[in-house]
Amino acid sequence: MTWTFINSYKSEWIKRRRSLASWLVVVGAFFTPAVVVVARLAHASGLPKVYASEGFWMNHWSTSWESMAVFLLPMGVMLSASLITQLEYKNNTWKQVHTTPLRYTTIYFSKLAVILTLVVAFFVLFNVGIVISALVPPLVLGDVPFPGYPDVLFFLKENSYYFLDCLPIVALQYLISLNYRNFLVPVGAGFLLWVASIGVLRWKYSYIMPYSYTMFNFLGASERGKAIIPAVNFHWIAVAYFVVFVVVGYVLYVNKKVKG
Amino acid sequence: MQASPYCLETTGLTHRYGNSGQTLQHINLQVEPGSIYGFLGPNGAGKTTTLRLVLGLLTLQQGDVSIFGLDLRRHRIEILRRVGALIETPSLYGHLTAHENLEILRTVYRCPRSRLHAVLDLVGLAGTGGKYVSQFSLGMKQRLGIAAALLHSPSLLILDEPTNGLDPHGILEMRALLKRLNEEHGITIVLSSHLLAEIEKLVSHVGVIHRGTLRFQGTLPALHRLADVAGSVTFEVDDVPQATRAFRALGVGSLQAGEKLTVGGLLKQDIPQMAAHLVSQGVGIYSIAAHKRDLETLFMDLISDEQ
Repeated sequence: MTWTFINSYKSEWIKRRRSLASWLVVVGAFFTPAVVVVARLAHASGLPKVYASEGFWMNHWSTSWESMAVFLLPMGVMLSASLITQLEYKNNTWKQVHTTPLRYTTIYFSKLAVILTLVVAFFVLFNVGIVISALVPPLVLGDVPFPGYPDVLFFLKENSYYFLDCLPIVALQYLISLNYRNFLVPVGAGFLLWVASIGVLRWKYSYIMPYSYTMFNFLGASERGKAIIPAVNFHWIAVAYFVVFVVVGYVLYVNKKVKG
Repeated sequence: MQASPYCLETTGLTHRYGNSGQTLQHINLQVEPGSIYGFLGPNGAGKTTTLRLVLGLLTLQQGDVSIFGLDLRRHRIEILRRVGALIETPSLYGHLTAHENLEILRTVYRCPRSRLHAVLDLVGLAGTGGKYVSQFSLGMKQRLGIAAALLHSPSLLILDEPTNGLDPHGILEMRALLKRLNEEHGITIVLSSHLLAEIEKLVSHVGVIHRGTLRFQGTLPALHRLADVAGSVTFEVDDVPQATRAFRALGVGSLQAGEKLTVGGLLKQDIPQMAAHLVSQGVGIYSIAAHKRDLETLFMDLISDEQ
């Protein structure tokens, strides 16, 4: 059973080669760090002071995550999850997938595992990008000092929170993409939910919106007042949503009458 | 329950799409091991629906499917391990190479890497290298689809219109390939087509489907015999009224055209007896001509709406 799953996962992993989703992960991960580097180099005069400050890494982390948490991460995850799943519709390959000797459970979870791996890959690359973007100015400009060591544990903890917070987006996009041939349906639904999540950030029950948790994590840490951060632990709500969406998606998928 | 002697058998297969009329009605396919079974019917007759049901791509509503003597509902995985399929257009990832497309399946079937090269060689696609499948011609995609179906050395190959998109040379090559797979490797092949002429030279058994019902099923010689039985014989005689009376006395109807009488529904072996009877009744015979219905005409008759 384990080997079957691993083989199915490996098989799904091959499909993502050269796919738009893979490119999106790489480009999306390095986009913000690249913008940060360009902005810093364009305003080089103030950099020595910025780099010499004790809170450099915290400020750098916050700057890097600003657009990522609110915009790029939800949109990127939404697109990647939808694109990976839609590969089968686009290539008319569901009928081949479903005539391989694999249980539907194996197919469902190996696809989901590939999407989650891509999300993890995105986080790794983004963190690499954050570090590189911090080091480029001192390397390029002679008068900028190298910053001290970052708080790696803090980074790891925050990464884990962001990962948990984007899980509902992964699961819901996966659920919708599995059930609709038209790519616009999952992307349109995802976009609407994302816009709605931003729209209700000041609402006291905004935490019920499954696409809002990455925003809470960022705004809660840095910009209080822009959102009403729920008193409850929204990371657990995110995980709960993920579990519910995965289970509902699984039931819908297994019981589909037409499988290709 | 007795195990089915057939490689593939459907019993009372009935299917309906949504609220539309019945798509399939009590289809009882019987595919013998080692045979090449031609599943014939015009577009929309129910061929693809039947094959998708057989492969589990559509949920069975009514009836049973048994492959290798195993029930599809309970042994889907076990059955699919030994079945290769190509349904309608080939299922291929356009952004990957031929090699990568097969690697996806090789990983799942856990077959040796050598199989990958073997099947690419077999279908003449070994030299496609880094070319993406989206750049392939329809014929190349079709051949890669066959390679994918053959990768895990299946015992049963199910091909839905496999010659779609192939040029005449490609059709001949495909025919030779399927014949070789059947004869040398003992693979049972079920292939659908809407053209009798296209598969007549290849198949050993035929099933004819039209409007969701199976109109004929049997060996190719049996189909030929059916064509013979349904043929007609024309007698050129010197006394047409006397000959008409002689036929009527035997309970056989005839149709007159000049000095010729045409009699329908005769077997070839009935002709000498019929001629002797005419002579005994004093009728002189100038000529006798037997007209067989060709298979194409028979096929058209089988799929006509009067059936």
